[in-house]
Amino acid sequence: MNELDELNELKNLRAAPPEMSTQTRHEIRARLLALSETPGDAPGVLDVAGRRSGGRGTAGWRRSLLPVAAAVVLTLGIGVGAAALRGGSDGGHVQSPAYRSPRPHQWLYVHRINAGGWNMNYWWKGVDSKTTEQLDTWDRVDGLSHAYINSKGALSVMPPPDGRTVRVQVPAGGKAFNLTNYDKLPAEPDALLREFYAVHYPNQVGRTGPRDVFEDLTEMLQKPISPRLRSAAYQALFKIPGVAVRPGLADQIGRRGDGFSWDDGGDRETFIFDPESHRFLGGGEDATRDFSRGSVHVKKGTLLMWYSVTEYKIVDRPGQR
Amino acid sequence: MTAAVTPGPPQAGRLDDAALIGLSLDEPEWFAVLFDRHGGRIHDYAARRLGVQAAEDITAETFYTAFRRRGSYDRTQPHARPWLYGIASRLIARHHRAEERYLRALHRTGVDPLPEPMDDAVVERVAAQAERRLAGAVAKLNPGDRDVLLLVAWGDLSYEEVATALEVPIGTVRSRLFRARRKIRAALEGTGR
Repeated sequence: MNELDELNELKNLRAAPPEMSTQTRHEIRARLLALSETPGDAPGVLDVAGRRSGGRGTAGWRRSLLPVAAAVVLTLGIGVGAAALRGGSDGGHVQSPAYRSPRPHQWLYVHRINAGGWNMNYWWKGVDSKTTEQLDTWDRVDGLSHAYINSKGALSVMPPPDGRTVRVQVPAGGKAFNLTNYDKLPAEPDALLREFYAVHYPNQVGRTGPRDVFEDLTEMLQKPISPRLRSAAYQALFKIPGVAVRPGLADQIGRRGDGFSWDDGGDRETFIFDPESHRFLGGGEDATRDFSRGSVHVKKGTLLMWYSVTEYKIVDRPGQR
Repeated sequence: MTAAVTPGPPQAGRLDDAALIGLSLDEPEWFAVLFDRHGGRIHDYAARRLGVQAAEDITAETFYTAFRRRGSYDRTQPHARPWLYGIASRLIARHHRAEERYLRALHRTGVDPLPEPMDDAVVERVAAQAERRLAGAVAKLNPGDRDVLLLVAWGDLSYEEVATALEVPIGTVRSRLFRARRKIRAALEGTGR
């Protein structure tokens, strides 16, 4: 292979991404001009955005969108989004025993409580679990649209209404198993694991491994599925090599459950489930040892993200709770 | 890219980035011209790594951060792209887990989960084998190596500019790039080394 070939191949990967929307361009520009008029915005001062002039600052202005991006990931079937039943161990609303697969045009509503203090400029410093921020999201079951409550308190639905058409995610997450066919899976742990390990996409490179199965199972457990399947999936988590079980772990609002973690070189991701009902309670990300991400260094013990999911359900339209 | 309205005098186009930043110390509205020049590129880079929605946030925050730090910019450097890509890289680093998942998903399923433009006639595209191998290999790279590789391949930065952006010696850039390219080449050749 020619020396430059791999770089040329890489240049063609995801070539021509969607342009920045006109609306976004105008918003950023307007904000920059507004910043230039802000007293005390002294150049060179490494301030924490959002704490200047007593209001919503530069980061705060759009801070709500990144958790939303995480919620989009949820529906992609590859993310750390969240979906749990109201109340966790307090016996709140549970999915109907007569479970039925949601229809493609219905929406998954999720209410999430995040640890506060997150600042994307200094994300490696972590969050403050003593404060909280709330987030409401809606993801269409077929994966073709996403909605959230924006920083002005209004419902924002993607694709945006500015003329461009953006596919928020691939249909049903592009995964073999998703909300539209979870009810076809066996409700027995070993059989379930066999199904997930056996997933092999056309032309897939390499075999499906424990990490893939951990991602797929925890993703399914964050969705409204039948109690029998939920129980089987929960039990299957114990059988995945490399998964650490952490009993008695508390979510952001203090509900305790069994944590299941995957540690990626010091960056540990955790999902917490009620040990009796197997409901998803929440989870997060923390540093089990010092690690680096590019030029950024994260210190051992840093809590990078922590959250609770207090409600999810299938609804008929975005904005419906 | 959509043409933007410049806030400053019409001679803005003749000024280099360092001059613009210098002017913005006394007349901050000049900084918006820097956004007009480089905002689209930063957005494209972030969108290729994390998708459009995250890219909008990262682009916005990159320029707000740059604006706040403009006083410390080394104005002997006429081009601000490395500085801006450096800020963006630190913001993108937070999402490495999501980025790796996107790439692994493309690798496994052949369908890129990143948002992309479509029209009514577009159907889901299944990636070619080489593209999937590539995505899988990029997902497995050490984040520091991946930053260097993608700043070169997608950001079009020179080795020197990457060193400036990531605040590492140029020798580190060369060794990271060598390592990353070797792994990518092995994946494309199907050896999986």
